[in-house]
Amino acid sequence: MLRDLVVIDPERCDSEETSYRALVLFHEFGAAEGGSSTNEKLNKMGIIQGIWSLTQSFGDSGGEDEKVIELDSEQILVIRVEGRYFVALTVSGDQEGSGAAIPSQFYMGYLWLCYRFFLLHYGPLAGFGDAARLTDALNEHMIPFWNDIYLKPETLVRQGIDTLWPLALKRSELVDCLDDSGSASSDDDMSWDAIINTKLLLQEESFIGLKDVLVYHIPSDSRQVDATDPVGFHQGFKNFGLVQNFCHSCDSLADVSNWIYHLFKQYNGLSSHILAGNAHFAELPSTEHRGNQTDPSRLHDDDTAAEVPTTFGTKLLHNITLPISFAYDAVHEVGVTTGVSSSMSYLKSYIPSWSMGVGPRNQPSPVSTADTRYGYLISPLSPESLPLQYKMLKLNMTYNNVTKPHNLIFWYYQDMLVVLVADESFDKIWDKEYLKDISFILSLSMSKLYKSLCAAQEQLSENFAYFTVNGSTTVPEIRSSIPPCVSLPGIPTCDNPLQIAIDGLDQLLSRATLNLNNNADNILGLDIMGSLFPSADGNPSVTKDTKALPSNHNFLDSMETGKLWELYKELLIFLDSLQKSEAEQDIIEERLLTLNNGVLCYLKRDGAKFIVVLKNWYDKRYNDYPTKETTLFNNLGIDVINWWAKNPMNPEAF
Amino acid sequence: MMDIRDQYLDTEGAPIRKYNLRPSRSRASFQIQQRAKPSISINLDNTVVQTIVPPVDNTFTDDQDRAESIQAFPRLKSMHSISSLASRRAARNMASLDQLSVNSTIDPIVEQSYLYNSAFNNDVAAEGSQENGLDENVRRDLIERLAQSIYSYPTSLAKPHAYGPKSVVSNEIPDVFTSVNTSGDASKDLKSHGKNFLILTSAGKPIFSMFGNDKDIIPYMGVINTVVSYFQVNQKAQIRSINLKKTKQAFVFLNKSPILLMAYSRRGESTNQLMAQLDLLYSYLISSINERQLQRLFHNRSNFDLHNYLEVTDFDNLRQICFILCNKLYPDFSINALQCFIMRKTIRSKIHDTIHTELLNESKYIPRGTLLYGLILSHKRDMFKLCSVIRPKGHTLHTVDLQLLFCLITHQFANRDGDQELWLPICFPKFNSNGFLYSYIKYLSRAAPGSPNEDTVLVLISAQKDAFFKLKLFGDKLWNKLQSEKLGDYLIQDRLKFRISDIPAPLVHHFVYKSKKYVQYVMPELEIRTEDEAQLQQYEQKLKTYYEHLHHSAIDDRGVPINKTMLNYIHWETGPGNAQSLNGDGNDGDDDDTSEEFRRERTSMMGLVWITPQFELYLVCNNGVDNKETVLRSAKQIIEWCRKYEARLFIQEGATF
Repeated sequence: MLRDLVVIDPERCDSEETSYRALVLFHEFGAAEGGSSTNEKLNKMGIIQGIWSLTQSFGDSGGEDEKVIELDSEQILVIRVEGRYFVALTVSGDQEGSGAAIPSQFYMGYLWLCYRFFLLHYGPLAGFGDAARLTDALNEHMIPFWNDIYLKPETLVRQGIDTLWPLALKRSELVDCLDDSGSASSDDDMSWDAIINTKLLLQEESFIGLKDVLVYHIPSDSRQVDATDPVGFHQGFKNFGLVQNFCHSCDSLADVSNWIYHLFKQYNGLSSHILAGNAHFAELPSTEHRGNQTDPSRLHDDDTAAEVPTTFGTKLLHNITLPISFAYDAVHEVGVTTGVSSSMSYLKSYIPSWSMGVGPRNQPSPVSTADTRYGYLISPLSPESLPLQYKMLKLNMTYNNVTKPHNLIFWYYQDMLVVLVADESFDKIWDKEYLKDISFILSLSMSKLYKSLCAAQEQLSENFAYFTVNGSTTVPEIRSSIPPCVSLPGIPTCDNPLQIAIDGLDQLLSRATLNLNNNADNILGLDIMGSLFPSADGNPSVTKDTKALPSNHNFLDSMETGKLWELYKELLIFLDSLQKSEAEQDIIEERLLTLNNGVLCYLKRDGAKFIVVLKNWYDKRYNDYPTKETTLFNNLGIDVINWWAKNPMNPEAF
Repeated sequence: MMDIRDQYLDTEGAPIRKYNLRPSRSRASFQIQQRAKPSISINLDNTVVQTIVPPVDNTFTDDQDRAESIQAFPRLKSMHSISSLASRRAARNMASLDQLSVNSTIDPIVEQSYLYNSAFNNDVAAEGSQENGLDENVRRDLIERLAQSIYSYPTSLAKPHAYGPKSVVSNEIPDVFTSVNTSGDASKDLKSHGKNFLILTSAGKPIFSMFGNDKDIIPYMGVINTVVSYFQVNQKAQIRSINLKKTKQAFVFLNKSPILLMAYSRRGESTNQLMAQLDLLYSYLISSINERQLQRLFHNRSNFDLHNYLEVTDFDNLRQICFILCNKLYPDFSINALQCFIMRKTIRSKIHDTIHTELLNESKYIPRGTLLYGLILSHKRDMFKLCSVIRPKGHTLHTVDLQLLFCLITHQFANRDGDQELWLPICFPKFNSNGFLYSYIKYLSRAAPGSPNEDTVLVLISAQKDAFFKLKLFGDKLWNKLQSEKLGDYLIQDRLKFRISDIPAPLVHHFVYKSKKYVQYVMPELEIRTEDEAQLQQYEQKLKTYYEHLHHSAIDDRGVPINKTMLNYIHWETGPGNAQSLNGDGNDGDDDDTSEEFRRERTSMMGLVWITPQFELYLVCNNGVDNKETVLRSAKQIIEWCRKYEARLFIQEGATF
């Protein structure tokens, strides 16, 4: 449970009297009882700095930029950024001894992510000359960020242990199987990436201007919608993430990717509003939520609404009308000027809630059958009246060690998200015809990709799960097939009194617009990616659809959430212990742990590389060893050895 | 000479001849299972002995049996460290070096990091050669060959080429950890120490610091005090720890108002481990002034200066405890158990019976209730082993209390004559932190320096302040009785102490086995032949670090094993790139001549921790072992062995009254 968030800039105060100036941001989450007095805030600020300097004096702390202060009932996580600013997050333990308490490592990971996302959107903290402007920016960015987590803490674990490496990038292994069978697709036509390269990036009109194309595979996860169907349409976490980018000198890749993953995990999907930063959770009084049939503010009074919440309770609800956004803006304005942004709660009285129409469930969903959905999420094609962030996202990205703002456009094709990164000075990106051309080329490429994937890939079920971090590349890379925990045991997700309040503009996303035959002509320019209606509750014919990518899961995917969470916690302890190991840097340390829940856990640290392999040791399918010399790794079985032999992190691969 | 030599190399004839040298399998005393057993078990110094003679001590056969077995097989008695042989070899002429390298099928190994170049003891060698039937030259040569190259795999001698080139095992364990400053030099900069303990009063007055003089420490004491009291006052919470992930530093706080303790460590210890260490230090303080006294002292004057109140010996003891915690292989603290003096079951029960009857017989001198606890301890190199326990039925003393008692004894007698007796008031904090018990402590025997015997200490604990003479009388009578029954010698001489090589557990370098039921642990003698205290300490530190890593891999932050049953392996090895650079490195202190023929040994260390509700086993293997199955097999054998001899290894009941 989050308690408070403090940002301190010690350089701002020069004397005892002006010490309050050092306090850049102080926010208490939830319904604070009266809040802290100025004096208490200053005390807290002082103690954080005091502890920081105390810990400096006992050992060489070069480069140490994070500290965890543990009290009996709460933890204070402090990071120092830019060698100057302290960001401290106080987390109080949930109910004593409950299994749901989230280990501090996850909070720490998100603290770093939050800062990295801030850099993307606003640039370094030190770049703000004016203190008030910095406070405003932090208010706009950090408080909604953490408030959403406060309201939905399971977000923290939804990216799995990837979060412990906040500077690393999760790669999708979707196209790895294509490389093996590359000869198969070398017919007359080009491969999917060649299409993007030659027809888009290397074209005269977009060369240099269009810097990069980031292709993500972000499958909508049926697990979180219907827990009774454990595997369902699950594609495996292995294929989640960045499929490919086309520029090799991008240093911000991890940050952009993690930002997109975060949005996806936080809001269970990606839409124009989410990307534009206009979707946030607002807490509704639970009574109002439970009695949803009688809720007077409900716009849609659907007869079937009562039976919906079990599956749709957590679905996002795009529902707001224009006047409300203005009302919100006004409230927000007040919040910003008063320096405290707890104004979110004011909103609840303005926002009508509206659960997504349930009617379509009764008919075969037209979405996932013949048509493939694609189109822009954020692009200049969106209506003129919309704010800038719906047309173009400006993010500070680093290419070739130069950091400057870039324009980003988002496009999707079913479960693939394509991000176009354009130079700020590249004006052609505003040309609507050009955008339509891009959309066409991308759709060609993507359909090609889908086609070749379906041809190349087979249903795969692995008896092990792995997690690797390769820290020796410029951007550390994560490859993982350990499924993330979608929810926390003990915290009900289905009947959560949460709703997403879109504090932006009219959604106007109705069934009619979804069914537009020509996607590129989606005049609204607003959309939501992925299949809106999870196949789990669709009829069986939907899942047999040929458009579906082959599933790829392992034994952990069918594990219950509670058990998975237990496993996570054990894994954290092991990782922690491994990281604390005193072994010299050039020593490779391996551990093999046999747990009595039937999981064999192998950990390896080789310099900047981390490898985790989890194996179900009750399963005896692969228990013949390839060699007589049973090293710890060989002991994992032939399937793991084969996997490792092809792994890019293995120096002996290929 | 060459013939013998060839027998122990990779020649095809080797296995047959080798078995001729081995004891026959039918001998009941030699209970190694034959399935895929290594024909050579390599353990520290006495490889050769292990190869040729059946293990003697571990089998605990009757003396008569043992004598027979000695006669029945050729026996090599000398147990020189291989390193001494290696160093001797370097002095030999080049011709023999060439000869050696021609014959070997693998590169000979030169250990770079030999710690102990103990002097080659010619007397022992001569004695050994007289006693056994082997020719001295042959024997030496054999030792040398083995010193050079020892194959680690169970079937290696029998099937030399079955699995291609072999790894090589030496009996030396390399250090894979970042070096820690272990010097006790207090004048150095505070930052140079990897670990520190600070004790202060709640008013911020310094009481004790392991490193750093008072002048340097005082400012920190102030900050620590502020930090602790901030959370106490503002949030009604206690600060537990501050962790710095990247530099692996940890600060742990223990608030036992009016005493504050802080531990600093960058050795990767968990909060819980450090907390336990702080608790031990606090317990020590309480043992010398009990808690009630402490509260009284601070009750009216919160700024009372305890530093001046304590005695010099208290600080020495604290320092000693800190030193043990930081640098010594002293599993007592980390696994919370005691070591026990190994004794034959019959002897132990005889001793206990004797004590028991003596207690009954002398009840007129020592009325019931006078004696609370009694202990006979054996003491060597600051390690205490429990020989026997006299205790009331259903009562035991907490290990921490006993450990504190041991620390006290070490220190109290450090500069005293062995004949003296002590009558000490001690507070046993886990027994009753508010009162004192009185301990009568006497050395029953003191070993002369250099003698293999142990010191034996008698401790009798009473709750009565004036029981000194009663206890003294009882103590004297007891010792006389034990001696008249010829049991005293069993307490003085550690006859059954064992080395790792005495256990049928191939390739294991060292282990610690804890029986959870008896809260006692057993470990083999450290096999290091050096007089140099620094080297010994370095070796202990190394082993300690290995064990700490093993321990830490299995427990969570609260100090509880992650699972009730766990089997963990840890393996450390140098990366492939690293090994190459060592190969090509000829200027590392080696002679240029040898660097071409000898290559440095590759580091490949394996450790195992096995936790079940019954026992905990920690073991460290020899370098070069990377076969998990072999390690597991050895571990199982150790457990089997420990269970079989449970009655000897652990005190099960003690003399209860």
